[in-house]
Amino acid sequence: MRIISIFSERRRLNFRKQAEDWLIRLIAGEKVEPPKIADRDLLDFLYLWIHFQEILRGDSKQSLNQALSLFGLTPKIHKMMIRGGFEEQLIAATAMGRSTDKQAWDLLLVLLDKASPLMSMTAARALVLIDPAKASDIVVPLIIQHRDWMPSRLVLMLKLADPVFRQAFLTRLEYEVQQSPPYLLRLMRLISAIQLNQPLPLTEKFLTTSNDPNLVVASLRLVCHPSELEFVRGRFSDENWSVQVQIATVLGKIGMPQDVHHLLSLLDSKQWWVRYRATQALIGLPFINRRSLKRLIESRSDVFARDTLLQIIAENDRK
Amino acid sequence: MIELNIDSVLFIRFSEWFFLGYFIAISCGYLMLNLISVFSLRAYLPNKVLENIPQIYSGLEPPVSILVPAYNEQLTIVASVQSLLQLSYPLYDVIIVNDGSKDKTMEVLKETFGLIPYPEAYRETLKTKTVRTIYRSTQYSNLRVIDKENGGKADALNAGINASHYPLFCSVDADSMLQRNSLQRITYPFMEDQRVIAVGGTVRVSNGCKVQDGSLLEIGLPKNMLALFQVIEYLRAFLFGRLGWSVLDALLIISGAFGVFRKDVVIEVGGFRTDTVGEDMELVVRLHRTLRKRKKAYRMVFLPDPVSWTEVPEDLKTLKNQRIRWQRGLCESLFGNLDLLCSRNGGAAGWVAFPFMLFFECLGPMIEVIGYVLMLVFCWLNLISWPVFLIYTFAAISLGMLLSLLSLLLEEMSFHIYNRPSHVLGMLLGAILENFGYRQLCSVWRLMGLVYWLFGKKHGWGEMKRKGSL
Repeated sequence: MRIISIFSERRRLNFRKQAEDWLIRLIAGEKVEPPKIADRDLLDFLYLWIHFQEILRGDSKQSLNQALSLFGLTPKIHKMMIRGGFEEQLIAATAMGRSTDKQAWDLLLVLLDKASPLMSMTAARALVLIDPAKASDIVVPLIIQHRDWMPSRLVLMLKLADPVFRQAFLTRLEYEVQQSPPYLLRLMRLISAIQLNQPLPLTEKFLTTSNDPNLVVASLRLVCHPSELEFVRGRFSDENWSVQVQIATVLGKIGMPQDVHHLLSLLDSKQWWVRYRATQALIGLPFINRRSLKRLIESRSDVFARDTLLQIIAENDRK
Repeated sequence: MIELNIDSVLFIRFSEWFFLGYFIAISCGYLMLNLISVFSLRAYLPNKVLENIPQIYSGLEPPVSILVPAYNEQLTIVASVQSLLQLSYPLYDVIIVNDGSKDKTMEVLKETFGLIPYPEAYRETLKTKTVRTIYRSTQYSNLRVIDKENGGKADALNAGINASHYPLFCSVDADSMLQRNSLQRITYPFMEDQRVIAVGGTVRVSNGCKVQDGSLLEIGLPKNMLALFQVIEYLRAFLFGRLGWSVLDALLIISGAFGVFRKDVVIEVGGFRTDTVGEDMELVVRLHRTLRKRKKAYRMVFLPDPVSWTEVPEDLKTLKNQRIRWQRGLCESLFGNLDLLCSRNGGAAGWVAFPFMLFFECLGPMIEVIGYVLMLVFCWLNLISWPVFLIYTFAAISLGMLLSLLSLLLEEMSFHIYNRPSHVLGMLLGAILENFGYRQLCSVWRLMGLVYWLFGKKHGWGEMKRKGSL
């Protein structure tokens, strides 16, 4: 068994070298004679193709997409999505998403219903890449339903999605917030991780009413406009250190001169992370200059606060 | 033939069946764990398909402080730190804690990484021995070194926790080397489930591997037989054994060589205990005991694929010391947290893993060694027949062999990291030969550890003869 696998590994390695050469030449704009890719090599080719898709930007992606049709692989990939094993279906769905192949839509819908969370999520991501507007009706409700979809992969899906899809997700989220479902925190973590940079009504709701520090942290991560600062200030008395870290981060981005006092009080926190973010915020504020910073350092009696201030100044000088 | 009274005959018959039953029970226990691992791997491995494709960070990755306690590690520390500085992870720092080394560990670090004393304020959240100086690297902004008085590994880790900045800390041995993507993989459960408080990664043997500047160039098997036996042992007990416990939510050990913990929870339970030699296991068992008592929802997870490579002993003396230390640590961890045993909220950890560890791992060596000795004596005195003795020996050895071979098969089915035919042959040979002497020797050393623990004999840092293969 092992000897067979070694020989097949060698053959695969040779094929990958060859395929790499084809793809590089194609990206460089050279003419490539369409090679015959055997069924057994298709998976390796797709792995390589996806790898190139992930690391390249701009026109090169178009050349890569052409490779699939030029090499006559699209029908084979469709077949793989129907009859392939788990790995083959997963890679085929990923490739179809990256190539924005509209003909794969129905096949992806089949994979979307599979029991495996990874499979259904991969199919969902492919649908979103192919047609974000059409996919939003199907995929957004599934994001809410599928609590087994991995948050880190979901965040990537949302981050790279078209604004149309993100807006559809946001609209649905605002509706969900009114219902206060038990999985609200999960949704808030998703939305806060994709950094929308637009003020949201749900931020106000949680910052003014919620007692759940995780929910408050997620809401604070969404704050991006000075009009939301009054809700942030309402949280100044929160003793949870993760909330304090986030407050310092927000003030560092959009803080006003009247917030400096609060940032100074955060410098005395026992948590290094709070002190660090508060110091970063203070130093980053446009109305704080070197001289006032020095005065700040001298005014601190707390050795930890002074220490963090010196560290950030040193870090900034290094940059 | 010696004349025996009825009590003696009964005792001999009981001994025969008891020891045979014990070997069958322990083997069945491990067999069950391996079977659970098979099912767990079947569910786990397909999810890894997309992980080899390059991806941007999601932004959910929690920042991590990597803590490396070091004592007399001048030969391996540079490679180890270099491997840590090459990890692919968005936000992490590396804190080396020099625990009063007597060799040139500190000098080597200063010279290689351009360390300068840094007047950093140090908050002693957990009580430790005096910290002399904190250094910062002029070449790597995320590298700090704490030079402190000698206080043992647990004390060094506690000092590292005090100096760490991030919400998670990862303990790594100074003679270990992490794979580039290890940190990314091991923190994954923290992103997926807010209840996760600790995650253990896999430790594999680096002896025989080709390493350069902290990077693993080629995976290989050691030529030294002792190290080869340990490769099999690490597979059997540390990889597939722990995976089985993790599925049952009853993981009692996360190796100090590679484990990530939530800092606030560890501080809440008092950090690492400095009066034990098995501080890693003790912490995990204490976390179970404390959090179950407080009825807090938590999870501790073992992942089979984030890998840390470590150098194992190649001489009998160092191996003996290591095994004695491990056994002492095991006893201290279990008997120090006896409240967990079959406790009301104990769950699988208190009702399954703890009794298993107590009877098979902690007291097991005693039963095993007494079993071997008694059977030999009975046979020598003609109190039992040769066939009975042979059946006993055959059962003990063949069950051990079965477990080792099963672990090899699992490795072949899942990760097959050792990819040359000579590797497979070498491991097969190791899996068979380790049952003739090596395992029995380990049992004797473990029994010594048990005795030392009973009589309270002290044991410090486990000193190891290094080859500096990292």
